[in-house]
Amino acid sequence: MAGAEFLDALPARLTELPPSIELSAEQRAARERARRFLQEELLPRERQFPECDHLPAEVEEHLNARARELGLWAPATPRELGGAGLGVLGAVLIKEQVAQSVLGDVRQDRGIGGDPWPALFQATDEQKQRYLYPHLRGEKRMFFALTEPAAGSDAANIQTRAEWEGRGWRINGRKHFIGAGGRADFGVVFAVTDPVKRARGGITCFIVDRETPGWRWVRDIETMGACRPAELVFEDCRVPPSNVLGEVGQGFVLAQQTLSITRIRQAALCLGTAQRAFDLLLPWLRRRVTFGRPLAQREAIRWLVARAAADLRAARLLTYSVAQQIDRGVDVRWEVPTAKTRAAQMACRVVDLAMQLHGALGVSRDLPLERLYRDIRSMRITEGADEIQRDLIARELAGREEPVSA
Amino acid sequence: MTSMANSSIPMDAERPAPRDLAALRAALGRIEAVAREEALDRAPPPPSEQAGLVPDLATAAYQLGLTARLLALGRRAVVARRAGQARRFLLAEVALDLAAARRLLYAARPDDALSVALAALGARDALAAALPRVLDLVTADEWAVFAAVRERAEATLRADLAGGRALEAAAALLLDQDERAAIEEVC
Repeated sequence: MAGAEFLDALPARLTELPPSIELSAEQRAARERARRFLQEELLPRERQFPECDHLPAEVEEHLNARARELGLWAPATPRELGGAGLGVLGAVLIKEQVAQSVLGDVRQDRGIGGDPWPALFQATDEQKQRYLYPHLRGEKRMFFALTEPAAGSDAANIQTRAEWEGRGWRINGRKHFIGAGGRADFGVVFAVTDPVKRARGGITCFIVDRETPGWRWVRDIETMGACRPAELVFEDCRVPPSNVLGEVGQGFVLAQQTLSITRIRQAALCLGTAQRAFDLLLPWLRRRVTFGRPLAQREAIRWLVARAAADLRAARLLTYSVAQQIDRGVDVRWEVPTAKTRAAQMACRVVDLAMQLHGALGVSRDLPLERLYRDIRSMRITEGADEIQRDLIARELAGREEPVSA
Repeated sequence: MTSMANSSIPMDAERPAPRDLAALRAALGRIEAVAREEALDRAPPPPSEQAGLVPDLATAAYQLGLTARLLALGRRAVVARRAGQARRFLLAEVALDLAAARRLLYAARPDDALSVALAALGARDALAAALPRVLDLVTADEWAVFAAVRERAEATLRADLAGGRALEAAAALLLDQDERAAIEEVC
């Protein structure tokens, strides 16, 4: 095959040189402050709260205040809106540090980060006054409600309906696995407004206040990790036209844009979790002696550790690169699934390895490894399962799937 | 155990200036492109003869070029076959490995021995993992091309069986010293 013919065969992003990753002095400084926050505020408190879904209010308030003092609050929110203005890459660097603690921003609803779900940046001025600014001040919490019992990965298949009644919208439907759904003051709720168009102009995003009649919290769902996402029901829940977020019919696009950013934040979370496990592992391997030799001197273990290091570094580089490109306005549809799925799989592998090489101690509650293990598994499922990410990558490479020919 | 003294990774090089790093990236890109686009038309230059390059990085660039060539073969097969989901996912795995290994390669710094070792390891593993996956994808029409690329791939992989040298180089840096390894500082 000649070179010219071959050049048509791959997306340019797999043949051009990857962009160099450059951190600004401000981003480096923020990473250092986040490291301080981790070491001074989070790690010392870990043993006090071994199994909590959320921290006691006074502890959370203290941590939020400290995060503000250190310039870590709302890192990805633009300065003109009241955030730290560090961009998505800055937020990734901070989240990666904070997520090294099991008390860190393990889930969106932990309230240590301050950034809203990115969909809220589409708010009108009036919506910003009512929802965005109170959220940034830490006065209100929010949730993001897309997932439903019959529409997880297949988000375009949501069944929640919003019907126009002449003066406003009436929402009916059920959402589940909604982080912070039980404690939030308002949420962004996605509903079908045109059943024919559906994802192609027939899904709309609404801001729904907790006090709205018809909103019903059903339960918090127990999971293997610390997260307790909620199941919510909307029964004849009436919202005014002023609560439409973005344009009517453009909700699915808004959801996709939001998930592109939150998937990268989730990748950062995976990096932090894996780094913690790796940092626990290395000194243990040097210290632990079996059959007269430290584990660190055994070839099979050395090779496993080396591969884990390559895995972690590659996921980190992919994640930083995607975050930097988002900040530069580059189309990252191809790179987001790559970074997200790689980071999630890597973190599961690294935490599992650290647990395995610690032996029985790894599964004990004397170490945080068992907690990291339980918390990290959902990262391969939430905000786009591995299989969905692979499908997106394959689609970018080879087009949409066609029926297998007979 | 292989010590770093036996590795091709320089331990005492001066930290390269950004311009030198840009030149290094460009040189690696050229090696990768040749392996990718002309794999069957031109014999690869021995990596040790790549002027001004760390040999392990030159080898990694060559291996990633071959991996990209395999990915392209797999992609053509998936399109031609109208392949189903399982084969499409195999293709995605090859692409994921390639993307990750390319990041490791192009972020490696000659003065950072761990980054070089991990780049070498990433490229080797990406190529080794791509071979059986693309074997399951490739069509009869492309078999001769695949076999030729596989021959080149096996030749370069044999130079470091199972990645043992790269693995030991990385493991020594991670485990044979007490201080925390600097894998967190990638940039």
